[in-house]
Amino acid sequence: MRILFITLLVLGALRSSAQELYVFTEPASNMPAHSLSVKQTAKVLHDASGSAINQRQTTELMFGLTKDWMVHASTTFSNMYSPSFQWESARLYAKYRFLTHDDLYSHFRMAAFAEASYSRNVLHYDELSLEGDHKGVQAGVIATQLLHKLAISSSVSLVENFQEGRDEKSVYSPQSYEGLNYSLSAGYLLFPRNYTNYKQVNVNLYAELLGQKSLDLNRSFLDVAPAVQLIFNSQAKLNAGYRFQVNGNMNRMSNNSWLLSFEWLWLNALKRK
Amino acid sequence: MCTLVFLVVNIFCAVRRSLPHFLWLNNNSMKKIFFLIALLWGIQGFSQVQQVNLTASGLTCSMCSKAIYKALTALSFVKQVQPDIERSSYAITFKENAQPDFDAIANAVTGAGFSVAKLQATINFSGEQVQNDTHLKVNNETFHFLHVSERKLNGATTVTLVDKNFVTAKEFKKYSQYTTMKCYPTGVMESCCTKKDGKAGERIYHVTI
Repeated sequence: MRILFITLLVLGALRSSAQELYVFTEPASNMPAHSLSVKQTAKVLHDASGSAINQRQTTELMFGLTKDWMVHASTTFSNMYSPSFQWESARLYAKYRFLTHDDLYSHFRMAAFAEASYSRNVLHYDELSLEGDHKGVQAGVIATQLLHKLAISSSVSLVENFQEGRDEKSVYSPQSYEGLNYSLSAGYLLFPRNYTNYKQVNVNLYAELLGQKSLDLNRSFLDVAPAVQLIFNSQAKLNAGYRFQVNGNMNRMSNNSWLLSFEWLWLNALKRK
Repeated sequence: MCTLVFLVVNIFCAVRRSLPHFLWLNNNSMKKIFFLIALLWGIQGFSQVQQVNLTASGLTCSMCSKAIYKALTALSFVKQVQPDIERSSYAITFKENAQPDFDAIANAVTGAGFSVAKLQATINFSGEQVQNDTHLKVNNETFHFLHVSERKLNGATTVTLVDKNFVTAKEFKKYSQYTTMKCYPTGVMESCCTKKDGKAGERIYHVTI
């Protein structure tokens, strides 16, 4: 754990500009005001039995309303809780940046976020996630620090599962309904070494720690999620990541998963002419 | 320019006097014409800002830099933006007869999610006398010079804006020690400012050389 953290620090400090367009988490910074972004994400995993391959497709619309406010709306299809591929959830997310300390070679920013998700799925696992697994809400804070060439972001949030029958004793109980999520992320620019124009392909490497601690049961997990990101024409992002558990005792659908996403950004798309 | 406007107005008045009374323009039309002349004069004056060089802070990627670039190019008075992605700086030139608005430039940068760390404007002066901690009206814009020695400004001179939203918090603090006038923290004409410089609440840009 300590070695990992030091590796993250060294990795970030070693080279070039730090990157905060994290693949698994959101930074405290927002997308530009009046911009619109569309993101398609595929999450692939082996189910608990390890035999079948399950997949979730998420389509997400992101709006930069003002410099401080951004909103996401997303919907998902998957075969994770059903024998065939079907629509399963919708989610709304809002983030407000409330603190900005920008300096020439550093910045510190903080943001608060809240989200709510509707899902037709009934969760039988301990791992809480508003990505489509259950109905619920989540709220938290994010802090992002850029110090010269190192950018580190951290978040803490509370998540609650509101699915039907959570108070009834069921064959699956006990399971977790309240949790604390936390994350620590770092990223760095591998290429280009020197920026000359907006058309250069950017290659970014990321390493993120993603953890959850149940608040109603003595269970938790900690994942490590490395990822690579390609940015084309300063407009499109292609992300590929792998997330695996390094420590934990939660009953989860899977301890590891793959993620592939593509995002397209339109600047000034929402600006009134 | 002044001479030109003076001439136009004189000719206008002469023509008006020589016309029969029924051909005289009514007062409203007169006002409109004078307003147009005043407007043209004003615009001509603003074209004295030749170029702005801006450095943005708080960004880490080319995607962020492009967001600023796009926000700047979307401004109606901007002709061209030449970005230096590595340095997060932008050289901005303006459309002919357009009025560069420094606040709109800063708002474009903050709207993109970042801050202005430095904004330098190259202004074509014509023999204006500059004194430390005093105001200078350059056409329609009031500049308050900080931390400068007494001098005469002639030709293209680069001034650095040191108002809030145009410098880092550290720089703002540094320049605060060079004046006790209230207009620096607020950026507008205050009771400390002399009446001849303009009305209370009028925008003042604080600059240094």
